[in-house]
Amino acid sequence: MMMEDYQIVDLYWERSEQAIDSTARKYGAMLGGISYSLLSSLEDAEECVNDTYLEAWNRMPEDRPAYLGAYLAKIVRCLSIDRFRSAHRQKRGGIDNLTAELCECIPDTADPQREYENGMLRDSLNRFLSELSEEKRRIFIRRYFYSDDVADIARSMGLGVSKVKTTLFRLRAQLKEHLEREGLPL
Amino acid sequence: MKSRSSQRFAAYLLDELGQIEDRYLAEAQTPYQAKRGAPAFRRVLIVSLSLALMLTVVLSALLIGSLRGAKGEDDAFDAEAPKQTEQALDRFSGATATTLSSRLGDLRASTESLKISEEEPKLFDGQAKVIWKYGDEDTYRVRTLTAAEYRQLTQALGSAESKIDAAEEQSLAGIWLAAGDGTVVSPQLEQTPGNVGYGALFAYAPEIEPPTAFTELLCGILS
Repeated sequence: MMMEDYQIVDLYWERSEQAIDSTARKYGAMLGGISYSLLSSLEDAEECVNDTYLEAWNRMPEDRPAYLGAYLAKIVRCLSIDRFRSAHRQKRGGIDNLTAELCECIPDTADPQREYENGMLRDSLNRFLSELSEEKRRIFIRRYFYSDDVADIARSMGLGVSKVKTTLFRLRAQLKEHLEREGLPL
Repeated sequence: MKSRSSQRFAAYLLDELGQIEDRYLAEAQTPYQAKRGAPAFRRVLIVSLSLALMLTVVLSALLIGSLRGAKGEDDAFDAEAPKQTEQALDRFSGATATTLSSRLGDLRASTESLKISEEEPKLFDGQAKVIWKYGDEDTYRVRTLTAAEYRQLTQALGSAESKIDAAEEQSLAGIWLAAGDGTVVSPQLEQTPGNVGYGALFAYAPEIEPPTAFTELLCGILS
């Protein structure tokens, strides 16, 4: 039987090694999926997932996440992106594709360093997401956080592939408008 | 081609997306089924419009068939129909009351026996009928119709004679023509798909005065 999130977090806090097993049982597949979609390599994805367990072990007990799945997903995503960048791969992978798509949201006048360092971008993104309908928000997050491909998003949400593609296209335009409105690219 | 600055910004954006609020990430992990309310509504609308169109076509076909019948090409009853209509018109030509409501008001005493004991008339018994109720009564009055009578009455429901003034006092609480298959229309409403009821005697506010031919034919049948 699958444990509840708070029970798994308790295990981390008790420094019980069972915490890792329980995490792997409940979230291993999801974490592996995120990492693989970014790295396109089973071996690398597996290592990233293991690193994620280690990271979670080290961060807790200081952290007590309310949504363990989201907490772990952030870690594995961050580790996977770092691994990808540090490997300097020549071939185009999932991250290249996502970056290319997200480029559409960026006005040429953007000064990324400043907004990034000030944490303004993060706040602005959260505001943008809060203004979206649940369906649109799910599509956006499934694509740009979980790196799911369009067909998977469509299947899991009971939508057509073309609808998901169109929605993503419009969301990128909306995000660009949002960033301009908030003065981030100036 | 996007500038190098844009590409860097997109990379930052990708990183920052990794820090969005947990509740959104958790939300995206839960099962979701797209709401299909609008398409379902559209399907129902399409089916309703199709049925209404079919009904219109059928009624038109019946009307054409009846007109032919009146010229002696159809059954014997239809051949008699114009005569009956004329007789009904002759019978009431001297009457002073002209509206359906007032004409039925005149027939109140003579149709006393048509009151029914049931609370609601039967609408699915396969029997066509005209049903009406006076404003100061609780019981319905029901006169069953032959297929030909029903057909003639529905055919007589052409365009409105005139609009009914909302302030005008009505002796009727309502009048309906029931086909026997659950379908109900009122001669005091425009014969549009939206005014066709099904399975219930719907309440309504009278909007039109039906054609004189209808009123005379109905009163002829009832008397």
